[in-house]
Amino acid sequence: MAKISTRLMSVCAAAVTAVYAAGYIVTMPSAQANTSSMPDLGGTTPSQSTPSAAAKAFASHPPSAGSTNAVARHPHHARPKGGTGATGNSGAKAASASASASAKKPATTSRGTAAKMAKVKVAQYKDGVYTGVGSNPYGSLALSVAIRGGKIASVTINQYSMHYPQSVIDPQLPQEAVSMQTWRIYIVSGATASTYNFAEALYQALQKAKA
Amino acid sequence: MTSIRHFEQSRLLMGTLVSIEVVGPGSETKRRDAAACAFETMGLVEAACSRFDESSALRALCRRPGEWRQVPDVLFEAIRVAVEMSELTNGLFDPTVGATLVRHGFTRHYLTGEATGGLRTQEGATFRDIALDEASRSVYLAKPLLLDLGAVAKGLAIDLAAAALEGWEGFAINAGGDVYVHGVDRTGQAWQVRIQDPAAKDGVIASVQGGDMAVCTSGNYERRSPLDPGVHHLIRADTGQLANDLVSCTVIAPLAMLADVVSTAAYLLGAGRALGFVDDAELAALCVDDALAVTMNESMRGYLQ
Repeated sequence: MAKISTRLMSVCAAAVTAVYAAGYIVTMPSAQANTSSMPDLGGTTPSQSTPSAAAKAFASHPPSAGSTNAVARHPHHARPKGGTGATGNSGAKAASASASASAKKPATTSRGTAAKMAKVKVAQYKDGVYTGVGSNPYGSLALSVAIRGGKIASVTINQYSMHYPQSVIDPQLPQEAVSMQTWRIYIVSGATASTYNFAEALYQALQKAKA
Repeated sequence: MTSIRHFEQSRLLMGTLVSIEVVGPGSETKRRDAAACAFETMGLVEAACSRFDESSALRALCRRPGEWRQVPDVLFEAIRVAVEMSELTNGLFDPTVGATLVRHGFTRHYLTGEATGGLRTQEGATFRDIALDEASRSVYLAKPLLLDLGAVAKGLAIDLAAAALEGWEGFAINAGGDVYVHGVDRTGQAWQVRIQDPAAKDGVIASVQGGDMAVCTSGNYERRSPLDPGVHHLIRADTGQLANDLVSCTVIAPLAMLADVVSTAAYLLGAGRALGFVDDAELAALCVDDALAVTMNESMRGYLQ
């Protein structure tokens, strides 16, 4: 049997490479980062240039210890595999300007994944108004979603309780739901618990609306 | 102190809060778009590999035992890595643990709150009931079983997000404690990753520094069974018992997938064998046992500040 280290490293590296090659990396034509081609697999680039994760995968040994002369002042917390949104607080200080930005669907993907995603997003709903509720130990939320022409036309939060104000998620999340046409809400602005509630409530409402 | 231009955002993905920070020159829009692409990439992995989502490729596969099913590359590779680790640990680690997790109440989709179920599974299924065909990217499940790729898919998603962010001066991806960092932080210095003290919410037991490294922690103190608070989500597949003499195990590796799967396996192996296993994998590890004693291997000392 091959050494454990060799087996594990090669199977993981092969996995990342295969999925990469299959076009699962979402890229943008205008992006600064050039992700449209396979990374340099030589792995010989000096550390201050741009060695990629995938390139590193082929180094097949752990990186040496980080330089000791640098003193980082912006630490990231490594948290254990966390469960619910209620516990996910370390990264919660998201950029608040993000709601409108990500509402635009920026991604293009290679090899048909975009088409696949688009297909998933075209949900067929019956016109009407549907309600949903979401709750967790931190508070609750009720909303109604209006479906017009089979699409999410608007989302209104009817009831809200949380220790921070409704303005943290409203109107961002309702707007995002309309522009993205999905309950899969991504943006959190230090509002994990109510974002979970919003997503749960919207999902519930959309289940009722399913044609 | 000068600060390099950066953009940070968090989204709910893969059952946890994922934060991405992008550091580098150019317009705010470029940084924001780059982060959005990385998030979208992770979303593709989740869409294929989620145990909780009825529409995932994983659920579709598990609904059809007893026949060869072609699956998306991302699912195929995740299963292959999980099976490899199962073989290395003689089934201590096992992706067919899904049904056991369901019995302990780990059934709810993190966003919809909807219970997953309705899937017939058979007692006694193991990773040996999974067959893989490389050429056709097909999977065969010999028994009705429910896969759980939690330990693998999140790592794979992080590695792909890192690939999507290639070319930036620096970035950090933090998926609920599984972290990958590249290059420099917003102060222009090497990233510093802190390892949480399991006994104190805001305490830190160690700080590691480096670039192009993944730091993943498997622990029992964050995710508990809704049916029994004494039950956490890391269950030994071979015995169905909880692995309990370690509180957490943190592993550093060049890939998040590797760090994630090795930390999970090491945690399941328990205090007596965890560090030796990580040594065999030639990676760095730090363990906290149930008496809150911290142990680490030699490789880990090189990362400590």
